[in-house]
Amino acid sequence: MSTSTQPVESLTWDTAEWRYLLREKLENSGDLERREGIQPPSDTWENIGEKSSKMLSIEGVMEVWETNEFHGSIQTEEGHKLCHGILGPETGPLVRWGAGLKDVENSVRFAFDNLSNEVALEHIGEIWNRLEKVSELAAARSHLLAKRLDLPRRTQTPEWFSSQIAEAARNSDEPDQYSGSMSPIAIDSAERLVQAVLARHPDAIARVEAGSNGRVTIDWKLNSFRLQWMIDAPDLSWPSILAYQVSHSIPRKKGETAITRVLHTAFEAIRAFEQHL
Amino acid sequence: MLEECLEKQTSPEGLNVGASRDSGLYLRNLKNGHVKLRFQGDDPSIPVYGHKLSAEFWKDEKRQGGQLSVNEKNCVGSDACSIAIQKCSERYHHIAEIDLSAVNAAKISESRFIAVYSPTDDLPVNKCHFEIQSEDSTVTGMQVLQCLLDDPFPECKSLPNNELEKQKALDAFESFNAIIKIRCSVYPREVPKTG
Repeated sequence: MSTSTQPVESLTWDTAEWRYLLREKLENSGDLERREGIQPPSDTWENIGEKSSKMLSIEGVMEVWETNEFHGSIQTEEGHKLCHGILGPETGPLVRWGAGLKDVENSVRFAFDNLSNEVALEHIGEIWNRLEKVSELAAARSHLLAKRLDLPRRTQTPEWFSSQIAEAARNSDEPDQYSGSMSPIAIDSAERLVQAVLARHPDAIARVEAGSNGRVTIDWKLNSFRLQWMIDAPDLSWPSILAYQVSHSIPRKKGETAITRVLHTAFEAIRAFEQHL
Repeated sequence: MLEECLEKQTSPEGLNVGASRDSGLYLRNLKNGHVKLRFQGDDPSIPVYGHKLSAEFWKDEKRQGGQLSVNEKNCVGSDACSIAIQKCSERYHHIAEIDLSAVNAAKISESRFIAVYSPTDDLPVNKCHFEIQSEDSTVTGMQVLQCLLDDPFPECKSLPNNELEKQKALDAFESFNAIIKIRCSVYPREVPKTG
């Protein structure tokens, strides 16, 4: 039976992700047997079973058997609903990672707020080290996957890019210890990315400038959006990239929070561009 | 002037090195290339729509990563002193005054911007030095700030030409002036002797 004696009411529930998935499926099909992919985050449900996992939340109860079959009961806005289905065997790690990372994020914040400076720095350093390893794994696997796809089609470098990059390079040559020049690798990466975008959207145009730390900034104005890419020298070859993205409305709405993202492949960048069209 | 400015420095009370604030007024020293007209074609000496920070400025925010090196206004006393205590001060001419409360009130980012107290021991000593950074991100945090202060985007190649556009531009200038004020040619230079 259960190893947990913690009363349900005293737990901090964070079941929004699971509820969203479950409700979506309830509303869209009503028949979960032919559908895969509902995996409750294990840390947000109290496991009270052995051969089967029985999980409780404020909104409902769910029992998952070793065969990956599950039965659930959930309180929705439309009332009480029953559901049953099969958890796809591959879906667990695909869904659970978000909750795991949230824990990591909380651990960093907790350490910063509650531990002594030295101990917090050490703790966060350990986490950061692990995250870097995960990041390297993600980079390597993404690169392998990207190489299996057709490379993004590219067109000739537009004149607006060449002229602006030349202008930015001229400005970068100021003999000043505080001024950095644009990295040739960052310029090459930016040029390829522009070529790939223009192969699909020949009329696109952007402002190009030198960014910080040898990066190249490409500022697109897309309908009512600004999309800025600050392109760094990537560690891996094309179509891998390293670009910091900021997007916001034009004009920026009062109180609007800019959306930020780090892009790692040209495919991602093109998708982000097209999402803002 | 340097000696006078160093004597006048009043280090922030009760603030340890590394402590942070999310409000206050801070001065950032600027070179000529760091400042550009917000509207091209505006009067360079007394621009109606003011100045903004150039890409050159943000490029120079280089190896400091995602931080903006500033001096606290109250501590340093004046624009001229902020420049006087700067290394290679002869290269700096202008000042950007940043109101950190206003930056945070604009809610441009999910995380707030803070000023971290980081006085320097190198000569000239600077007891007023802070670094502004986003609390939860480095590169993208500063990139968001750059985008905010870059308004209007895309760049206006000419001045607004009707009353509605003029008013919009003045409103935008006013709202950005609440966050950042740029003051030009604030450092008194000695006139080189001739003959």
